[in-house]
Amino acid sequence: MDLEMNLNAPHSMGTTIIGVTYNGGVVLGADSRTSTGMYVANRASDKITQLTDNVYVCRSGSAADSQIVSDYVRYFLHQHTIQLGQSATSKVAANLIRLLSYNNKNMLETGLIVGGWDKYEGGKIYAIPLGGTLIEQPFAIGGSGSSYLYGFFDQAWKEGMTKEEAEVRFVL
Amino acid sequence: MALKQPQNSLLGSESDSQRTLYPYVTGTSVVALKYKDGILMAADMGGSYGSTLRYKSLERMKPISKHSLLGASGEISDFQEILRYLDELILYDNMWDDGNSLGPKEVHNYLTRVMYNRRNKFNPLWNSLVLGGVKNGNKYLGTVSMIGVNFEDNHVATGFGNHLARPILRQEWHENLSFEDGVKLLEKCMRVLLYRDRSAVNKLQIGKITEEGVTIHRPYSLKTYWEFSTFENPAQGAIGS
Repeated sequence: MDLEMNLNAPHSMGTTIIGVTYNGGVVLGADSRTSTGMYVANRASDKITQLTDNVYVCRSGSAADSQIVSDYVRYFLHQHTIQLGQSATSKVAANLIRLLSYNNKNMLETGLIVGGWDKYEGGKIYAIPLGGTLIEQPFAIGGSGSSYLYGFFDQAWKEGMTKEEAEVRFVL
Repeated sequence: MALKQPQNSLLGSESDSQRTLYPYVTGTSVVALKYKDGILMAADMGGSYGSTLRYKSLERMKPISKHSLLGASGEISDFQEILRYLDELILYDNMWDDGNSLGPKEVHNYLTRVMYNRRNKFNPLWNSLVLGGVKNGNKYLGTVSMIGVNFEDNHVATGFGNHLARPILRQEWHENLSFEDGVKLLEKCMRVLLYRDRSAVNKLQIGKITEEGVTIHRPYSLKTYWEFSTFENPAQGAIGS
């Protein structure tokens, strides 16, 4: 039996993350496992990270990369909010994430889902996979665990759900 | 500051140069042809992530200013960046406020320069582009690859389209195709691509550009043929059926 747990492997998240829009906003969900090779380094991780009062991001891929990108974007958004004089929009947050992901594509390994609510566009979900493509979607799934969910979402998703439907059926 | 790193290869070490090594989210073929009133272009709406078809509503054709339509295959994030470059180009062009606007030939030339110069720095934009447009009655249809190969023709295609669609177009394209015939011809090409390109998806858009402007039609699907005799009575002759 192979007991070699490769504890020096980069902390990868082995994740499932979900973002779903509904008729009043967005619901975000994520699991809580961070693994280093076969070992579970943290079983209580928080993969949904706050960027501003009204915008959050779900992180997947390399824990370090996703944390540092979130930290930079939170910092930029903070300054942007001061300059703008009102809350940042989820589109701006998503584009900042995209800028970092795209311009550092050779070095980063992180897939992110930005979800937020602003007064101009309501609830929005933006997926930013590896490479730095930005794609706005009514729902998004990511992380290595998301492979199992494509079929379910393709079949069961519909627009204009209530919060309970979105939470209970899809995220929980 | 310039500490020379030991060079183990002629190209320099990996760490001190930024280069795009491989694409992540990719779009497949784009096919386009000249017809009586302008250009018709078709692309499906699929975005592949390796071998998985991850995104099914990607718009891979976008209007550029009044006179051009750009279609792209390859890495989508690089296509999005190209759109930003073009946004800036068109903005500056409009700011001259001199009544002139960049035509398709000029935009194609700009894209060629961008693609070729990135290729020279070993950091290509991983796309194959199709640029079509009409200005002052002149129809223009050109293509640029990720290494800067560029040319114009009466019909062009990217990726698999080069192998599957262009032979069809060489046989059946002629001058002054009507809109209906042009669309039928494009659909014929896209159907073959749907059958034979593993990364194709049955949800496509047709883009039309004429002197009046750009129209990108809403997405629709093609009908496909599967009535092969081998599929009739599949259990016939099987033991225990």
